[in-house]
This record gives sequence, structure tokens and C-alpha cells, in this order.
Amino acid sequence: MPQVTLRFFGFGGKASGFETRTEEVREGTSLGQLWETLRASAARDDLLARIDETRVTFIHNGELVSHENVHETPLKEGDTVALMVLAVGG
Amino acid sequence: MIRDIGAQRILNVDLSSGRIWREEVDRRDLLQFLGGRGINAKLLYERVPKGIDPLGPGNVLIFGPGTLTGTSAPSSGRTSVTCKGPATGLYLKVSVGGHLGAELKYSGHDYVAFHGQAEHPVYLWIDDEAVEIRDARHLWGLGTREADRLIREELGDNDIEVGLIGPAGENGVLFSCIIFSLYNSASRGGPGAVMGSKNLKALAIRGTGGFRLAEGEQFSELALQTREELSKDAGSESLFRWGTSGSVPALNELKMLASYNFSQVRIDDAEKLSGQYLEDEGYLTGRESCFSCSTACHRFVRSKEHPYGVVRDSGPELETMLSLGAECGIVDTEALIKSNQLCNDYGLDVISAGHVISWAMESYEKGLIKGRQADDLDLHFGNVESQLDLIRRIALREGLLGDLLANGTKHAAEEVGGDSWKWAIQAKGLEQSACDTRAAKSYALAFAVNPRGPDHLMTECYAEFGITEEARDLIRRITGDEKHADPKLLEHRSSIVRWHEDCYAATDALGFCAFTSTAAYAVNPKNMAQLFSYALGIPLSEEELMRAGRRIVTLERCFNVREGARREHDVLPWRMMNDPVPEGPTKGMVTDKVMLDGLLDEYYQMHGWDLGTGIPKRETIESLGLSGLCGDIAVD
Repeated sequence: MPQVTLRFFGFGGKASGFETRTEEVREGTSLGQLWETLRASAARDDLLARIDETRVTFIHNGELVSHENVHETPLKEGDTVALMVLAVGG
Repeated sequence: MIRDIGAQRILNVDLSSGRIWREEVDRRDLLQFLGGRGINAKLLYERVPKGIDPLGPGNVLIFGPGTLTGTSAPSSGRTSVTCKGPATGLYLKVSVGGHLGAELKYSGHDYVAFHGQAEHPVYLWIDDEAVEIRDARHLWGLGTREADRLIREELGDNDIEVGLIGPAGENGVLFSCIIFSLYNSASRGGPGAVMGSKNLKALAIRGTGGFRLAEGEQFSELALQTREELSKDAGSESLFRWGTSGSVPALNELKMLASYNFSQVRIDDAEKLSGQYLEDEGYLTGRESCFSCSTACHRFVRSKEHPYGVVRDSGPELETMLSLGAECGIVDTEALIKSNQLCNDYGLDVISAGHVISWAMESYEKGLIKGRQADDLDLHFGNVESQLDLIRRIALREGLLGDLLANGTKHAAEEVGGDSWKWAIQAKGLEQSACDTRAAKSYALAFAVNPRGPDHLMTECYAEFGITEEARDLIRRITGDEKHADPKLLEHRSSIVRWHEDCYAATDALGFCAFTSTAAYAVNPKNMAQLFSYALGIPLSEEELMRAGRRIVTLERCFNVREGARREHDVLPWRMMNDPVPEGPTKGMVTDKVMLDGLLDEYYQMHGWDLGTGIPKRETIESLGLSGLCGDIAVD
């Protein structure tokens, strides 16, 4: 099964982006499906489970993926996915 | 004193003669220019003749809070500081937060204009109607923190508001700033040097008055409703939680994080520069708001390990983390907390300070600065000790390198020679803020036409990234389709820029924070116009408000045209136009001359400016009602 590298930002705890985690996904899994799986397996009080999805930024291999396209973004071996609580600033 | 909010007054102070006088703002001018930045621009155009030395007595330094500053309108505590800028020799407007603007309003004044040059260091004390020029010789040479404390002590009131310069402004550093309310900075382009050239150390204010609003109840209701909408905006939420540096991780993941003097687009361990890290690792000790703001993006931090001494200070903001951090190859959180504190205390703009140092580091690594010319410092990228030393040297103009860098990268590159001008990340004489204008085309255009030089603080086009729903919705409204929320596109960039510059000008004129209207979007032209109408009792439509914004932008353009600026000045730093992005999804991108020319043509056309010169056309000036002011510089 393909392995993807996950990085989390802004979800609290150790999810500041220092700790990367590797996740095995089934062949053909989309970014959207991975996101749903992560949410479903998170504890109920975890921000990952609670957060309004519109407040999440998805970055796949260094490219921003719009919410409309997360289910059309297939994951493959060696991909990097960054999930971050939306942040702005200048 | 309780007064009508629309009865605006200018306090004039001639520091050469000691004369102090007041003027009323013409009500028609207020409707044309809205106040704050707009009236400042008009005063500057009228009172600063062509060709004067920005650091001479002929320059006028104007402080103008927005028309709604001091009211309950959300995040409306901003003040515009305007003068002829010493870094560029062109128009300079800087917006600053804190509480000083509201205090000035409560003292019964809406603007303070400083003329001339005092014989020795002085400060101005405004105690409601009583205004006094006081000796400041004992304060000269002191850092901003200590001088602020002494002024409060001397005046016997810890609740006054103070705006002041540090040693950098006194020493004429061309990127010295003015610090308001201890922790807010009017940073870019060197207003601190203008204040220093006038021998003016500080402005201290106690205001105990208030306003009468024409339709107070409706105003309060709309202000509250807008505040509630603002609190729900995704942008505001993140600004509260992580401050401006919350966007560091995303920029790094997207390989859009300016680093190593813009030669790289990411840096290892970038997380250590982020607001998330400051919070998670216990550096963050508090958040603070400017006047009437509930977003509270301002940070307070303290050092943990204290390798550079115990530091308790404000910030660091995103631009500090990028300019002094990533651009200099530094990802040491403790070091950046210290660098930020030093810049604030000496009174230096962190963006330019970071970029003159990163330019020096690249020049050193390429062998163009060495030995004595480098003040015998090791200037390799990443050297924290050298950065800390250089900040002091620049502020005090100490040593060959400190003095050289104090004049900014444009002058430094001219002095050092070789190809060093190619990595001087500046245009018009101002160092570019750390946004990569090779891969973000609205920003590229906005930076090129910015009257004060390339940065994001005159026209913030964050919406083109389409990060939030609100941003995508705005792009849809401007261009007709949210698919244009893509920074790599060239199409529709001029309309995106023009909308943002009109909106930003109105935002500044009324005193709102640009984060509320061009990063978060709950404050918008419609509710700004309504709030203005309720406050003054004069109907103002959304269209009229945006048109006033355009009038301000055009007048600022005219100031620069009168100084000799033309189309060829609307450029980006050489590296942005010639060195391609080295890696990532935008690898290979530049905003080259052909691209920029295309953007400028469309933008000038949209504005009604001459394509060949960039000078506003007569019909444009007439249609905006500016003929009486700057009709003489228009072209047919």
C-alpha cells in the first residue's frame, strides 16, 4: 500500500509541524478520503474531529488543493500532505 | 471638549519658530478625501513643494488618525503618518496601530502637522487644548522604551499616549521608524529619520474629550454588527490565535517562503518562525489589541532559554520572522525575539533591517564585502551574533558597514558595486517585504505601482490566494469568477489590484485596520460607507467611498509624478524580474519585463493614466475633481 507523509499545523499538542507521521493508504485513496479517515479516528474532543472543514488548508506535494478538489486528488507512494488550520497574516 | 466628529481640526507646529496654530478642515475636503490618509495626502501635496530635501526643514510630517478613529467602529484605531520619504525621495504614507490616534482625537485634534526644524531636541506635549514644545535634550540618544518611560514620568501620567523615535531616527537611518504606544511601529520608508531631522524626539498626548455622532444609535448598532461578523471571519480567528506569523508553515509548505535574500523559497525548521510554535512552545505570554479592536493580533513573548539575555517584548510579527529570520538564514526563535526587541528599541523598520542584512550576507558570501568593509564581522547566512551586532551598528551608524547599510540596499549596492545591485531586493529605494512577487502576480503589480516602493502595506491582495471562503467570494465579485483566485494568473490582476488599492485607501482614511478589509473581509466598502454616513450625518454610498479611495491613490500618484517619477519607476527588484523561483510548484516563474509591461498597460488604462509615462490624464484628474489641486501635472 502507498505510504504518504503527513504534517499537521495548528491542531495543537505535538501537531506544530515538527513531528511528521507516515500513513499507509489504500491504492486509489483520495486526499479527501484520507481527511475523512483522520477525522473519524480522532478523539471527539480533538480539534481534528471538531474543526469546521472550511477552516482547514490542504497542501499536497507543495500545492494548495481547494476543498472542492480534495476528492479528486489521488494519493500515491511518497506523497506529502500538510494539513493546517487556516492562517492568514502579512 | 465634546465636538462634532465631522468638525475636523489640524494642529500645526512650526518647530523652527515655535509657532503653533490650528485650522479647520473644509467639509468638502472631508467628503472628497474621507480623512486620515486622504487629508494627509492633500496637505502634503499642498505644503511640500517639488524637490525639497526629505530630511530638511521643508518636509512636513503629518499624523492623521482615521475619521472614525476614537469611535466604537471595530479595529478603527489606525493613524496614517505621511511625509516625503527619505528612502525613496517620493510620497510616503505609513499606517500604524496602537492607541495614540484615538488619544489625539480625544484631545480635540484630528491631525498634527510638523513643519520646520527645531534648534535642539524637543518633544510636543498635547494636553487637550494646551500644546507645548518641551526640551528633549535629556531624551536624545535613548532607546524608545526608556524614553517613553521618562516622558510618562516627567508628565506625571502613565495613561498618556506617546509616539517617539529611537537612536536610528536621530541618526538619520533611512529605514528608521516611529514607535506608537510602546509596541506599534510606523515602520516603512524612514518616517523616523524625518522626525529625527526635525529634532523631534516624541509626541505625547492626553485627550479627555469625545465626539458627537450624527446618528449615534444606528452607528453603534452597525459597529456592533460588523464586529460580530469580523469575529466569525476565518482570517480574524487565525490572527487572534497565532498573529501574523501563523502563515509561516503554509508559506514554507507551498515553497513560497522568502529565504536567503530571496534566493530560496523555503527553509528547514521554518516552524520555529511561526505563531503556532510561539504558542505551543510557551514563548507567547499575551495578546493585545489596538484601540477598538477585538482581533488582538499583537503578540507578547518572553525568551525561555535566554541565550541573548532575558527578553520580554512584543511581536515578533510575520515580517520580522521572514526578513530578520528566513531571509538571513536564521531560524533561532530566541535570536529573533532578541533582534525584534533591538529593532523596536533602536527604532528600526524590521523589514528593511532584515533585508539590508541579508543583502550584506549575500554580498559577503560572494566576496564583494570583506574584511574592514564588513567591520570584520563574519557575515555568512545564519550568523546570529553578527546580525545582533549589525542592528546596533546600523542604528548608531557605527563602523563602515553600519553606516553603509543605514542608507538602505539601493545606496549600499551603488557603493559596493559589481553585481550587488542584482540582489538588492529593492525598488524606488525601499526594500521589498518578504512576499515572492515572482509567483504572485497581483502582488507583483501592486508592489510595482506602490508609490512608496514594493510592499504589501498600501495594497494588500491576499485574496488572490483564495485561502478563505471570504477571499474567494471577493475575487468572484471583482472578476466574475472565483477561479481567478490563483496568484499565478495574469488575467484580471489589474482589476484585483485596483479594487484593493481603492479599498485600502478608504480603509486607511477612516482609520480601519487593513486586516479587517483586505485579509479578513467583514469590514467592506458598504459598511464603511454606512458608518461614515451615520457618524457625519452625510449620505455616502459604497461607490462614492471607493471613488474617494481612487482619488487618494491618484493624488499620491500625482505627488510622485511632480517629483519626476514615471513609468520606468514602476518596477520590481531585479531578482523578482530575472532570477526564476528555484523549486516547488512555481519553479521557473519570474515576473519579467514583458509580463510587468502587460500588467502596467492594463492597470494604467484602467486608471486613465498615460501608457507611455504613467502620468494621470487630464480627463482622469477632472473626473476625480482634482483639477484645482494637481491639474497642472496632468497630460492630455
